[in-house]
Amino acid sequence: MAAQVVPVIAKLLEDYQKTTSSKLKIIDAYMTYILFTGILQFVYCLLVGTFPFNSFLSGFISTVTSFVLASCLRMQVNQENRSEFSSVSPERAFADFIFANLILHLVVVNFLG
Amino acid sequence: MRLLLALGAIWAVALAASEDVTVNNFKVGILAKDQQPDAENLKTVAIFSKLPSGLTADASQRLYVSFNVVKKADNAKVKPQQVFLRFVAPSGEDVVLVVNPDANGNYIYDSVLRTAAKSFRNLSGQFKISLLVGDVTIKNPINWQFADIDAALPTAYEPTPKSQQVRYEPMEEITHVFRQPEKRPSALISDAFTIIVLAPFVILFVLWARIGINFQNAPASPFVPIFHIGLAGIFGLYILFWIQFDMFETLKYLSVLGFLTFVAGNRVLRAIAEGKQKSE
Repeated sequence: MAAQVVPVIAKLLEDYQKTTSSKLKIIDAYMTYILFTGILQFVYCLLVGTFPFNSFLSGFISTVTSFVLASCLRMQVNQENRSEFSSVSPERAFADFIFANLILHLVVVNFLG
Repeated sequence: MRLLLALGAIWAVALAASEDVTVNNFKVGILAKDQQPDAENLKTVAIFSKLPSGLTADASQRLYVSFNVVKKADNAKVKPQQVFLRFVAPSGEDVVLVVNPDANGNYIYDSVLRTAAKSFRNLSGQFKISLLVGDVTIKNPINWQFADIDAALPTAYEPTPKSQQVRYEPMEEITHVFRQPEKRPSALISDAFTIIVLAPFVILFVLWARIGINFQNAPASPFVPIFHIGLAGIFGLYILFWIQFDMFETLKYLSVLGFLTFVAGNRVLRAIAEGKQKSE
């Protein structure tokens, strides 16, 4: 099993390194960062407790929503989805991403308490 | 003058009605629960003399007292308004029991001490028993201590209801208790997790560095720094909002910063898009 899985994963990573544009890699790195932040917050919640509950909630929601926004950005920027988002230029997508993030974090900070 | 005459008339009637009374046939004794009173177990006491030996009783026994109140003049039975047995404890506390006449005008007090003890307010032990007789028409009211009794009465503690208690000392002060703060983890754990949660930020930069992030594509325009400073300013404003501002102040500053950033961002991104179209 492992003997079969390891080469597959290796091939996957190799293809990813080769074929994915560096723009998308940057977004992927950003999404990885958000993912780990969210997981660590949740681990803290499980281990220690949800004492400042609204702080935990706003932090966790912030990570989840940022991840969603980043994935939306990635979809719109991806060259392979060009046909689907023909009317949305990468710059427009980036502007939307920033705008949505600003609104989101205004709410998050408001809820942070 | 008329009033005085009327008062005088009432006074004369009162004087005429008043008389000397005495107590006779006075018998006292301690009986077992179902014992009939007879000459053996009752002792006769002459008025204003005292029973030579004290009485001893426990709660299961009966105190039996019988007597007649009669006029001194013609030995006719009378029913004064006030006929009491008074029990005085050594401490000075007293218990007064009412004695009622029966149909024949004989006064009999006959009660199991356990029942009587309910009005004794937990007193027990040595008592002096007196007979009190009084009425407005009686010239010589009687207060006659006729016996000592050693009564072992049940002293069950019955707390007085709170509504009937009289307190003269100040009540205990009620201090407000604030809601206890919830249990927090130690500062060490919190700080450690703060660092751990921020750690992926380092991963982000490491990954970006490996991918080869660069700013080569940025157009040479004064709006580029404005755009980035504006964004940083907005997030700085959010931090201030978190720490000290309220929503209204935040929105006031945000409208200015947001407008600047929007204009700058618009120019920058448009320049990038145009540059890309040219190169194509």
